[in-house]
Amino acid sequence: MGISKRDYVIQMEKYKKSLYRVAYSYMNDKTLALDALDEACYKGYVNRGKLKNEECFKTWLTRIVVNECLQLLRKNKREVLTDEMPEEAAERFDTLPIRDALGKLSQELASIIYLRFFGGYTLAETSEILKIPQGTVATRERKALALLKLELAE
Amino acid sequence: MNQVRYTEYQDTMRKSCDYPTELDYLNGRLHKKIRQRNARRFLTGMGAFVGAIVLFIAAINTSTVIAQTIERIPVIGDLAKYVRFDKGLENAVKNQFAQEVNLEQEVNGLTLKIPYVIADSKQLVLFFQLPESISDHSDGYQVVLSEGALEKLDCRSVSYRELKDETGASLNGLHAMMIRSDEAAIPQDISITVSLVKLYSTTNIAPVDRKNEGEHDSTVLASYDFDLQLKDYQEPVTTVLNQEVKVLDQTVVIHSITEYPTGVEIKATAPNNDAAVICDLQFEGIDENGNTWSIPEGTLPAITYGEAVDIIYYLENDFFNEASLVGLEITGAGMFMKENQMVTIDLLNQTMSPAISDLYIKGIKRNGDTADIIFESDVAGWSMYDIASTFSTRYEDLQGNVNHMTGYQRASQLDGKTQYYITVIWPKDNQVVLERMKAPITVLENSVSVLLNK
Repeated sequence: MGISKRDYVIQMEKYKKSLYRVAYSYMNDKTLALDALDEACYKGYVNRGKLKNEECFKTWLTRIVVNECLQLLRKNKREVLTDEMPEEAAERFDTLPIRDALGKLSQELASIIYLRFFGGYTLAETSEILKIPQGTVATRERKALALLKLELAE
Repeated sequence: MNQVRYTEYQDTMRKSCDYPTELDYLNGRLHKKIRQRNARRFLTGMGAFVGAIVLFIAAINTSTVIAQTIERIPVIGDLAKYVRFDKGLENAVKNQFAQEVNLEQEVNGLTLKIPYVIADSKQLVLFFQLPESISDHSDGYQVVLSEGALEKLDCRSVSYRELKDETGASLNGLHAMMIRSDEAAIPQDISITVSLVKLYSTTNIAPVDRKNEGEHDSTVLASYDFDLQLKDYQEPVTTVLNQEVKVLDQTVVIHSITEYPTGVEIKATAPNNDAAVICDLQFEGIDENGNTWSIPEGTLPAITYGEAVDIIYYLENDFFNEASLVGLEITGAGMFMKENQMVTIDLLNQTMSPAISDLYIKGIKRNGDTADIIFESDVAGWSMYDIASTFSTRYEDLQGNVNHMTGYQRASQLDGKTQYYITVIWPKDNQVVLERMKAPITVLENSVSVLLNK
């Protein structure tokens, strides 16, 4: 049970690009994505003794990255509400319609797109990361794509 | 799908695959985070640790120490004699490097003052004058930095002590906090939050007794915000060495030395191989006039265990003297065998596996859900400061569940024996696995010389 320090670092290096893509897809900002990735990798390191199966390292650490991103987004959302003028917020979204389209999806549907399309994870891996059945992943993916097409076609 | 938006979608995909260069340094940042968090945990433990030492000394000297009341904060010129525990700081003060800042704030009726600071790009020393109401028993109190301040200062290590005069009497509640940064320079314009903390009852006696266990919890009395504006720093002088030397048959690389106004930073790497782990080095610096410079009392090296053991030391110096360092002498080293790095403690049977020749279990006491473990060593010269960081604050149970020691790691010394106390959560299977970080210094038969070719 668990993973050694040395193996943790080796595996982290191996999957860091996938992890970064996931973090970036959630955060849509290089610095924020790196912040989330750094903190997630630290949390993973501290809790590496809890990893039950080393073969699940990639999905296990990805889940930590996703949780860290969601936590940061919640925190940043509060900061935007207090610190950012509404006009500036609207302008930023206008420049990124794809983000706007994804932003209109619920978090649970957007997560499927982030992991499947940005992260390149399989249905099984996505199911493992989000802790939902594969059938639910497939259903949500169809629903998300349908909604995105609708948004993108406008 | 709208073609324009489809292109934008692809663009977003491209951006997400356009990996920033910072991604190459993910591992380095991870280890930096580990060092920083360890420094914070160490700070938590160190607070009580320093307090414990102060109390212990007070307990055995009560009849001979006569408390002296000093009516005012020492003038800046007098600071030199109160920082003699570190000749680098003493020389900095003698050379008018200390700054008078005269900051103060009152919170909850308690006024905390910062009369002076000493700062260079690597080290910030804050002098705190504790509130008058507690100044005559200030050894039971400590100022601690907030998490935010630790972040801003890119903190690698913090040490703390109550300052005393030549007779050992308290200086009216004058304390010093020595902060060393990791990679970033100490900011010259910085706002920091600190808290005044009561460590535990000052009526408590020597930690060896441990009768008043419940009184060791710290209590935050007040939090303060201070804005510091520091003078321009003098440029440090770095000499890159990358010199390999043999210490106890292991190859140690001395990477560089950097001379700052308040001390010298030495960066070294020792192997972390399958056989032995060099975990400590004893240095002396030698200047052009033949003067020797040591590691200040109570200063612990920053040690990071990875594929190698990265060790960072600080030596005293006299930056303002024309005589610069010309050499280093490695006079001793601490080493343990790899198979002894992870030590399993059986709490019920009070045994240690593998047994460590220089450290044994003196006693284990169950205290609710926690276990208080007392180690003892009779190795000559192993100080309270050295023994207090024998084990990492991180530990595991046999299931691999990770925990961190919070609160205090303490040490005391009596009759040539040094005791070291830790508290861990008592696991279901009654066993904890500790990770060894330090071993007693073995004095080298022939010291190893490193010449500084500047």
